[in-house]
Amino acid sequence: MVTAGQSEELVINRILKGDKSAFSILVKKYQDYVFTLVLRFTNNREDAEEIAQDVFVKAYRSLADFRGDSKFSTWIFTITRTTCLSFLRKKKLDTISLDNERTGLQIGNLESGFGANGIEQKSKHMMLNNAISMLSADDSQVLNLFYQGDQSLDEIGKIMRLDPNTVKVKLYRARQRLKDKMEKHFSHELREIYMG
Amino acid sequence: MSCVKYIWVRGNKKLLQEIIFKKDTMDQEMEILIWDFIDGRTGSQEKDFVIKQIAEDPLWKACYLQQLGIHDMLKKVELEMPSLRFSKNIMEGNC
Repeated sequence: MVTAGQSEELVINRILKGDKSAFSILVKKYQDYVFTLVLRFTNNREDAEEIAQDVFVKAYRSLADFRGDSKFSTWIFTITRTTCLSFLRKKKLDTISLDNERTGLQIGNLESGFGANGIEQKSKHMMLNNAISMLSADDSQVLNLFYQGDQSLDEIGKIMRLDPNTVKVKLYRARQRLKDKMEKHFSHELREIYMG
Repeated sequence: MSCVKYIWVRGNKKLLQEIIFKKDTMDQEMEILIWDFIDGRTGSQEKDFVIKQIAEDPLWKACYLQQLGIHDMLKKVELEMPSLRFSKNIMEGNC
C-alpha cells in the first residue's frame, strides 16, 4: 500500500511496476496546482476540469519518460502548459489571449460580485484572485508557478520554454501589472494592506 | 508604474519629459533591485546596498514595503479546487 507520506520516486516506481492505484496519490497531490494553472488559461471551470484531467491522463501514459532529472512538479506543469496551448489552438478561443489582459468580462464579474454584499465584505483572498484573473494567462501562470508551484526561474523557463532572464522580466512585469490592477480596482483595500 | 509620480519643472516641457523618463528608468531599476532582494537573488554587495537604501531613503523604504506587501499576499493565494469527483474520474476513466 502506498501512502501520501511516501516519496514521489517510490510512488512513481510503484506505478511503473503496475500499481495503477498509486497514481491517485500524485493526482491528489497535484490536482489543485494543475487545475489552477489551467483555469488561468481558460477562465472556465468546466473546460479547466476537462483539460486538467487530460493532463493527468497524459502524465500517466508517459510516466516512463520521466527520468527524474527535474522535479516531478516541473515535469507535470510542463505537460499542463503544452496541453493548455494545444487545447486553445484546437478550440480557437480567440478571446483568451496569452498576452492580452482580460478586462471587460472580469470587471463585469467584479461589479456584479461586489454589488450585493458591499466591497468591504470581500476577503483579501477574493480581491487578489479577482485581480489575478484580470491579468493575461501568461502573467497569472508565471505568478502561480513562482508562488504556489514553488518553481524557480530556471524551472519556469523549462516549463514555458523561455530563458530564465526572460522569466525574471516576465515575473517583474506580472507583479507590477498586478499591483496596477489592485491600485486601480481595490485601492482602499490595498492601502490597508500596505499599512499592515 | 513609478513610485515617484509628481515632478514639476516650470515652463520646460522637454526637460520635464527627460526628467520623467530618467526618473522612471531609475525607479524601474530600483524596483527590480528590490524584487531581487525580496526574492533572495541579490549578491552580498547588492544586498548591503539595498538594505542601506531602504534604511536611509524614504522612497526606497516606501517601494520596499509596497512590494513586500504584494509578495506576502501572493504567497498566500489559495489554489482553486476541481470538483470532488475529479480524481475518481481520472482513476476510473482513463488510467
